[in-house]
Amino acid sequence: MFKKILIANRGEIAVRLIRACHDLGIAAVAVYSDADRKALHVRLADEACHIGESPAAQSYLVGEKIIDAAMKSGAEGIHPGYGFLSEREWFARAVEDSGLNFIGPSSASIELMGDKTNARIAAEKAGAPIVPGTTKALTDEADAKAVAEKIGYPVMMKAAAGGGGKGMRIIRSSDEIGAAFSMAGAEALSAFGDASVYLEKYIERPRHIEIQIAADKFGNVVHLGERECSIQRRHQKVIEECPASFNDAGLRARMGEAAVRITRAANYHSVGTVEFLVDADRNFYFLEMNTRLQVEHPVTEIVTGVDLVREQIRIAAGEKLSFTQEDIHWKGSAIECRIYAEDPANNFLPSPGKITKLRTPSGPGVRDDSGVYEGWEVPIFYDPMISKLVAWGSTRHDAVAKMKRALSEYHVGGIRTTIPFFREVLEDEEFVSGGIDTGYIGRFMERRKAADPPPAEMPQEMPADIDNAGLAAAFVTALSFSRQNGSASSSTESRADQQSSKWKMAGRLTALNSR
Amino acid sequence: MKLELIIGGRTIDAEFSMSDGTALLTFDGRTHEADISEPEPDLFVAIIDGKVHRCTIDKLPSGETEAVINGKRIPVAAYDKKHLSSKPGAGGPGSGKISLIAPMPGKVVKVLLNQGDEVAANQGVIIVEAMKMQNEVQSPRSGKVIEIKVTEGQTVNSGEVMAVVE
Repeated sequence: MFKKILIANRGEIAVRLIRACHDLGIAAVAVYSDADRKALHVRLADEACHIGESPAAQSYLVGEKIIDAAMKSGAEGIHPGYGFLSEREWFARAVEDSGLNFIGPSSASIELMGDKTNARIAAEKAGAPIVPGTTKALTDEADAKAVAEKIGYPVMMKAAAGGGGKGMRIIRSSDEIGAAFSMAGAEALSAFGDASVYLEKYIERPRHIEIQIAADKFGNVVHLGERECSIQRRHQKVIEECPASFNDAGLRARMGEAAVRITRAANYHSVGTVEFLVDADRNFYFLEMNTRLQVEHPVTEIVTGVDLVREQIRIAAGEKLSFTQEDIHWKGSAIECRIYAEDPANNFLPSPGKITKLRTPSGPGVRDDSGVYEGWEVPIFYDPMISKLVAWGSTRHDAVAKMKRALSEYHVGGIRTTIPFFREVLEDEEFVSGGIDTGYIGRFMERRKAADPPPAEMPQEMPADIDNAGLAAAFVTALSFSRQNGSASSSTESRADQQSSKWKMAGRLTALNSR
Repeated sequence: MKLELIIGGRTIDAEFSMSDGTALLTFDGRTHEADISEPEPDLFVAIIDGKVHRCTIDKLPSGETEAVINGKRIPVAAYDKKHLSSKPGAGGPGSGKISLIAPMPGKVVKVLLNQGDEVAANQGVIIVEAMKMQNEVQSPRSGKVIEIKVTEGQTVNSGEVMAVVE
């Protein structure tokens, strides 16, 4: 086993990795940028090395500096975490070439699975279902019709050169092919300078389900079941669950076996994730493989009892998997909410700044993987995720109840976070029912908008039936204000350090219009 | 003490007093009573009709203030009735000068207009970036850009005036 590891990351994942090192009796070396000198991951590490200026391009993304820091500190391995350099094949290769251990898959596996077309071919060879279609450019309308007939409607027309929804068209019958072909082509041409389009099967209301795998360097591959990641905003996951809410053991076994075959085809070792789309009829299709530890790994850890980071480090050190497929059982239900420094009341605008107050939840079934502390200033340079809150219960219903309770205990002051947003989602009937898919957040936001008119339309006078929370707010507002202004109170001191000038008009400033 | 309170967008005229942990708040012809303690700095526990409310007053860098009641955030403000002239004017869009304010701490990545340029309502003036997200700060109404206070590449604080439109 290793004696010392360098953690090439920051924030909550660096903290998570340092904890795993300490659990294994391994010394952890942190790296940090200017903005992160006082970061939690630096405070918890055994050694720390400054690697550059605040922007990630000058620090966390500079492979040479990180490898240099590892060599100087005498670390035997580098753990890349997720994001930053974790899926850069050149970085994994540079680490390998320097004689250090890359705590992840081989650079060859990253290269193979990092390319979408190659990954698709590898999955197909492994006998895993892929979304039916072709990446070959369509020659004309007749060709498009022939391909669509073969795949079966509805189909999705996509630009060969692009992404981001440009040139994309859903086609439900052959009558629509002609118009879609010319319009999608024109759109693709103007967006990417290339009119080539291709067709694939359109999956209606898909769920995003992924399979966690673990593979050692001796050919042992085990799957640890699925995670439901359909709750996404701007193509980013915000809530994840294990198991999926449809909880189908047969489907889990079939998807698990497919994921194991794909993992073997990629000659992959380490932990990793195979992502699938699942349609309403529970057919599943390979999407891509993430050749790293996932943000949402804790939900699998809690339900299976396997410490994935610990296993990942052990695999890198050349040890065998500590379990077989038969050892893996799923107990209860876990749910994770990603706490972002964003303002859910204002179009999820980033909200970096100083955390003036931090009270974290605890109690049965609650785990908070955080990267911050009270007094920490969340920097403007990096991903806005400050913590991952995970709740476990014996059933999904129980897990949701625990999460609601934990969210109500969680207080982050000084900045805005997505905590209030999650409280709303967890009260939402569609979410509670478990009938979710990747379109869920869009539908939820529409409902939310309809239920909550903009401030201008709200009544300006206090209604007769002011609710309890409103009354409590009025009390503490009055108390806090009277203290600062030194009157009305005989039992509390006024505070000179708080200026009444800080009391400014609440609500949206009209000049703050932003997208 | 006579106060004007704005709670969740609603305005109330209230009278407040506090003695030995018992607070009284009178508005709309009714007096409410609360037992308020502060077990930790800035954490208030208000017991109203036997119900426990964990309360914090959270001042945000943007200058806004929110009461957090059992985890629920409610925008609040308070003004002394005797000094109501200190209340910010209500003149929003429509007339006079408007300051375009940084909505968050971040970096100015692009200044789209120059001093003296005409600007249309909802036209973007400055783009600020933080946490890999870009936000376009727009003018809420048409007019003329009379001042640009920032340059590209500069970092700004939340609430900082970046440009003025007249």
